[in-house]
Amino acid sequence: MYFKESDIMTRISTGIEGLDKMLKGGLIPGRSYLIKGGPGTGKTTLAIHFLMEGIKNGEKVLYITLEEPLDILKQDMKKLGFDIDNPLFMGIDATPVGERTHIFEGTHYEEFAKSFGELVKAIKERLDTEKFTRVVIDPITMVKLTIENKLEYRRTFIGFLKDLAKYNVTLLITSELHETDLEDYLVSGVIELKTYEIAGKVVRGIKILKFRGSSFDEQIRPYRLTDKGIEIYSEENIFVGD
Amino acid sequence: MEIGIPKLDELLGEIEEGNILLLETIGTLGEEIVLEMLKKNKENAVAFVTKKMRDEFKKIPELANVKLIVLGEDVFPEELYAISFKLRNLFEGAHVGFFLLHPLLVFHPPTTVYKFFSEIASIVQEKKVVLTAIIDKRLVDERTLAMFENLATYVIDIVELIQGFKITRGLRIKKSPKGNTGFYKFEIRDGKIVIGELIG
Repeated sequence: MYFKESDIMTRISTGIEGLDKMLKGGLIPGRSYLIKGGPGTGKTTLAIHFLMEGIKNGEKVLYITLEEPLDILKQDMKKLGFDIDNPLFMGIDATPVGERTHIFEGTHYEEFAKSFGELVKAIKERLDTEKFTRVVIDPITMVKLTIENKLEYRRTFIGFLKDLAKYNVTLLITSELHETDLEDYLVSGVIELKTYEIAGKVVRGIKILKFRGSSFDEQIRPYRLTDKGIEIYSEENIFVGD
Repeated sequence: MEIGIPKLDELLGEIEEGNILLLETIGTLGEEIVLEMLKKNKENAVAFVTKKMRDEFKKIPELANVKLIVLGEDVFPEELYAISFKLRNLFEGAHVGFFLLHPLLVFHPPTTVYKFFSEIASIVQEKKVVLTAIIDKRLVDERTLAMFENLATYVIDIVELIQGFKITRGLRIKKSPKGNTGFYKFEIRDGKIVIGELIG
């Protein structure tokens, strides 16, 4: 009997049809994924698509912002038509200037930077009190750049991913760092958002670098940031010269 | 599919769906052949055109209902993927006139346009489309032209010979399942293609 790969292992939609096709059906739940890309490539938009898809299914989702204040992010996402005020969406502003919610009260971004453990602890406390299926940390870049004890960070990160698996949470972490680093090895999948300049115009491409437990589309596919979010042309090629 | 020019249809034979007809020419000489094909198959004709060509199409009543995809409006030269996407999403069996190779060869290196055209050829086959494209031979070298020819099932070659003040134009079938031909005298009179006797 013939089984499609997507039938064998449960998948969850990313909320972006073209990306689900590239992933042969979607993400494998209960695992962690890294979204890499420079500023303005749409990492946050991709992450919000992912969370909104959970909300569509009646799931509670958690979004933790470490750079862009939550109220600004909400304004931007509303413009794209996302139902960001839905009660199933829990947003935590962990930026230096953002409004604090109780679990993060008194715990500041700078402290997260000093100790990734503090951030992890706060997230775990939140997961203990409420059942979330999808979690986004956006972005991890500054935490990483200011990390003092790399060994400690590595240990905490591995422990964090293990704990999340127990909660059966699917985690997306965004990062602006291009070079391959610790997270690339530890997470189950890495998706990179790239930009190319052709005759003065920016052309965007998305590439899956890694997806454990599944085959995937290895081609760079073009995408656009539209007024409805990210649109991926999963059958097209990018044609960026020789 | 037939082009609608009896002599040319006789020389080329029936064009099967899923194939490319490439018109190799100088400038836009002979683009009337593509226009005739669109007129003949106007019920399911689609054309990828520049803005200038769009305006020319408007002046031709038989082409009034042809679906146009306009470069600079519907698709952009930097985004080749958007052009292949449009083609992929056309109805099966469409007859497509493709007039964009010239601007694309100005925007991109020939090898990039060739890679793009390879993708177009795959889509043409998959979607059972007949696509007629026109290419200015002066914009690519012989090697690149040969690569383009490989992607086409049918190739029409138009040449222009200038001797003093005398211009002689010839047309030949360079590639076709029915076989190649020698050069025939080729003229355009009042906007109509006239294919004359064999030259030489």
